[in-house]
Amino acid sequence: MSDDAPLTLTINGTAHLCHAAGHHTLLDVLRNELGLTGTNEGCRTGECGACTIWLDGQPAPACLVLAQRAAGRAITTVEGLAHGSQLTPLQAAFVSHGALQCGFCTPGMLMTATALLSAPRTTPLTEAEVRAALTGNLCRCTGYVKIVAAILAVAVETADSGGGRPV
Amino acid sequence: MLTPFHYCAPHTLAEVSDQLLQAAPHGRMVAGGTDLLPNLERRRVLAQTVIALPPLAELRSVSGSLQAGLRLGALVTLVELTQAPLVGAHWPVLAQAATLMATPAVRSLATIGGNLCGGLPLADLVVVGLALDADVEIYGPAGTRRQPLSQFIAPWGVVQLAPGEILTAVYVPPVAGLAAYQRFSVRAAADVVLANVAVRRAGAEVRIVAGGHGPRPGRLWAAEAVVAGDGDIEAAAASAAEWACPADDARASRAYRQALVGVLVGRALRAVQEAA
Repeated sequence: MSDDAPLTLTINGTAHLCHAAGHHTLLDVLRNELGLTGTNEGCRTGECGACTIWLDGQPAPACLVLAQRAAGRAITTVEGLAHGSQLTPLQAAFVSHGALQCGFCTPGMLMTATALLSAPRTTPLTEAEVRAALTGNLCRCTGYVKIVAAILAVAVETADSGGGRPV
Repeated sequence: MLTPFHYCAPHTLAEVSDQLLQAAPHGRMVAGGTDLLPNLERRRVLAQTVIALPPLAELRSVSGSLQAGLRLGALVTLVELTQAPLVGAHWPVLAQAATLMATPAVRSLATIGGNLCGGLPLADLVVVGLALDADVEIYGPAGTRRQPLSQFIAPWGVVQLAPGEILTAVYVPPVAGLAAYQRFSVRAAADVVLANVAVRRAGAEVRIVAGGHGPRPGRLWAAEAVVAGDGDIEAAAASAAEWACPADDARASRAYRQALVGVLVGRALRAVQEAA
């Protein structure tokens, strides 16, 4: 594969033909070429978490992935969470808990936390685990308290319903 | 937006080596990209060509046994290191160190080889690797060679790779004794490490490695001698603080870092003692 070769990226289950130069990151392509602006551009150095997406189901900062290297991987962005206007339980919990103010960090928070809640587990999710999972997602408005509360609320709800529910 | 560069993704190590030679001195290898891309973004590094390492099994795998030792491919990610059953069973200090690094999302991209080749004086896996007496495997135009990690790491971010050479794996000898790793940063995650220490104890032999011991990680020989002699952990910690040669910069003074090294050596030695 070389520069400017057409590139097929599989995003939220749909194949997209893209024309990315070698120096374009996955974040550049998502936002600028495909218009998927839910993935926010913050620091561009992998420190803030605003651009967190999933590569093959695992959270990763889109700013640290060269677009060419994302070919053949299953990419999921925040646009891939909700079904139309039906929010996921975690998205609804963010709304009901007031877990966002300016909203800039929210897509990254949702991607990180949804992956955390979807992971198989044998013990109840603890606040310490939620906070550890969120160490790479910076929020400068809410102080994290409501974000952590929203995630734990969904964890309890999921456990009460026997687990296995999509979050 | 990054400054434009030519990107190529060869399929074999021989092709990577050729591309590196052709692109010298402005060619850069990319593995996880978590070090290179921020450096390109900040214009700390200039690259005309970026060469992606191919995901070959020999670069991606964790293999070995308790008797034979551990082989970690250079492209094994930090998340994979924390999850590898072989590592967790026999070399848990490596997994423990990896869980402390960067952030969860960055760990899913960042590789072992990248941490070693970054050449940072406080690189977590270099400090642990030195305590475990690790070797590195290097592929190059002249064939594959193996050398001690201690000789691979040179001062100030330089690693001993000749033109066209590629770090392909790390070898960790069979477990001999117990090991512990301690580090300190102001924020627990995604922050610059101010001091770090790895300790390995096998019988009477103790190895104590500090990051940032001068311009690279290094052994604290005097502290090793103290603890190997009468086993006095407090005296060894005091010796470590006295002999450590950390940086003196805007993040922390030399005196503060020396005190930190002493505290961390004490904690690591006690952790090893308690686990025994």
